Amino acid sequence: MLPAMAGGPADDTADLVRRARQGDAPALEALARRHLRAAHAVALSVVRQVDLAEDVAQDAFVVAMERLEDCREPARFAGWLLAIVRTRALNRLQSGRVHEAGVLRLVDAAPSSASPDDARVDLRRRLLNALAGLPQPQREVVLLHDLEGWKHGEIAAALGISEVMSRQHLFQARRTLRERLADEAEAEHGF
Amino acid sequence: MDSDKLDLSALDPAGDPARWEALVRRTVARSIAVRRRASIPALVARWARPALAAAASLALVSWGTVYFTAPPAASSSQSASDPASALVRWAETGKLPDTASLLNTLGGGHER
Repeated sequence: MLPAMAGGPADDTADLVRRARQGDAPALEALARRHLRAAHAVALSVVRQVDLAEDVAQDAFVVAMERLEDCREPARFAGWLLAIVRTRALNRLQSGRVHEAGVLRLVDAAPSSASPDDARVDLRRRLLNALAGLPQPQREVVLLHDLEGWKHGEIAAALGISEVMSRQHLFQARRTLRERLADEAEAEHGF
Repeated sequence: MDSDKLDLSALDPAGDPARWEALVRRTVARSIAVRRRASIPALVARWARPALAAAASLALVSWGTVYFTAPPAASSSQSASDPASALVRWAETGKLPDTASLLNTLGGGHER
């Protein structure tokens, strides 16, 4: 796993943003490799479909590169990018291309695009089901922390919340997810 | 501290490394293309202010050159034949012009 922001401090990101603005392709690729996973996590927290989250993350990153001059604080590129991701993900939801009732379409995805491991697909389905019951901020925090390995300080800076709030969201999210996963497992084994 | 961490690895986009790498490469390729397009207006915007400043400086120097090197005789003869200047001069001096001067001045605009 590649923690999204563990590779370098904000200064490093700011330097990459400045170089990318000047058309430096390696800097642009470095930004993509550093931040695309987090973009995917936030997209997934909104659309809750793996395939669609990939599309949204990709589109949002490209839009961010197109509007890179609008990023007023290059050191806070992550937060700026994630805001774009969130907006685009919500737009995709509202555009009617995704129906709330069909949030688990990933299981219908073509075998070539999904993991061949059925158990992994099933676990993914369970996790997304459980995530669906969380408020949006909790989904983002738990995915950025437990999936992407971000620290609370990084999450707080990127999402515009306090570190205390980040910890609270994580605590609540984990507890709710565990309860939901346990309930589901119990229901399956009980019958 | 992180003993409570949930195992969300099933949601890891890099669980299928080839697929993820392809996504990253597609994203980078598209991003480079849009940066190339976006960099043209950005370049114009970056150079617009210095270019305007240079043009303004050039205009100022040109005007100064013309102003300070133009022969004063040409200026006075031009103003003498100008009806508006003549009327102002007559009003300031309080001296009535003779008929010939009046006709010459007011009719000057129709001369070829």
